[in-house]
Amino acid sequence: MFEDAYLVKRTLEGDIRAFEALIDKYKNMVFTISFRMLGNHADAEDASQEVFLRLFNSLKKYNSNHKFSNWLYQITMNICRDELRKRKNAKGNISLDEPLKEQDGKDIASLIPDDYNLPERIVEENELRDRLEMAIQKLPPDYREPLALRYTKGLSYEDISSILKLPVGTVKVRIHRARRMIREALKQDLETY
Amino acid sequence: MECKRAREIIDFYIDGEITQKEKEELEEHLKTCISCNRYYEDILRLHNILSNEEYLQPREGFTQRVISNLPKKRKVFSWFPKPALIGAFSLIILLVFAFIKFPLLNIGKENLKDMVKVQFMLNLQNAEAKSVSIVGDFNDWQVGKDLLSDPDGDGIWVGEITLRPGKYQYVFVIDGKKWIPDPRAREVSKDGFGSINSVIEVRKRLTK
Repeated sequence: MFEDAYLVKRTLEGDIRAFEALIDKYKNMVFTISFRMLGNHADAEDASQEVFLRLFNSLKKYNSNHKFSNWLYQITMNICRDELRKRKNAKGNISLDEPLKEQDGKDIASLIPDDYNLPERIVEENELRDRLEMAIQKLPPDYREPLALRYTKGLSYEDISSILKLPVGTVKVRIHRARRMIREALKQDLETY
Repeated sequence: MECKRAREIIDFYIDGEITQKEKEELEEHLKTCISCNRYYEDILRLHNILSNEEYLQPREGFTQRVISNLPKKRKVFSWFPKPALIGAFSLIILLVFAFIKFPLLNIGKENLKDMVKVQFMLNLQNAEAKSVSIVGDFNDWQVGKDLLSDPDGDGIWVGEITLRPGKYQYVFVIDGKKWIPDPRAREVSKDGFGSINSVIEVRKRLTK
């Protein structure tokens, strides 16, 4: 944390290598979040570049009393939201991806029967991973965001709460539901076979 | 514990956020309930895949691409001096080199202009000799390096050596064995070993 504040200070003094160090430190996390939000490498990389560019231009505003990484991830979420909004507008109101819906007013757990049987499992890890990432894309943004942040190294629930401006309890519940939705989606994928 | 309750806390279990009591109860339930077990394993598997971020990285050179797209502000000049410094450095080195080189050349030219051809002669008409060397300061007293010759065999040995202006000590060496000073020398010097060396003073030529 102190290191981040120092690197910011050095960058503002004109030392570009300090900024390079910041990029190197956070590029994978920023990319991972962007990828989970946007669903493909190209968009994730464009967004990541945009994040660091915006960061560079806003460095003067940085308040060292706040955690640098949380601020950086806030920028990341904002840029991803902008991109998702653009996509939505580009397609009109017709979304090609049908978002997973949660049954209103009902607890998801109660929808699962006691003798629930999972169809045959996918053994190939890569295949499962791809489908998982696709399933994440189908999550409503409110669930995708905490999930994307949850699976980024070094982020605690408190951090996520601060970045998304949500209570910690809400963050946890949404992450749990997100996982269940993904599991449901994978089950449906399997059923088409 | 019923399945409904179990499902509720499995997520907290995976995240390591349930009490010891709940943990024990859940594990008891999972021992016997197949469907809850599968549910647990599925969520755990998703959790593990998501937790493994090794494969999510931007392409190589990402950092450089960001840097090259940054606005070119005046502030970013920490890397500016470097090319200029290297250029200035090279220039200075070149100049120093030039200054060193030029004087050397001048000395060379000067030497060539001022070097004098000095004639030596040794009269050995009354003695027989096979070789006559001249040894001195100018050739490190090496016998055989500079030789006199007697072309017409009349016992008069002559030779010519090109020398820079200055004073030199020398002697003749006959047949590589006998060391004798030059009888014709105007100046002599004791060599500290009991012998006498001849001294010649070579002056710059006054004519151009």
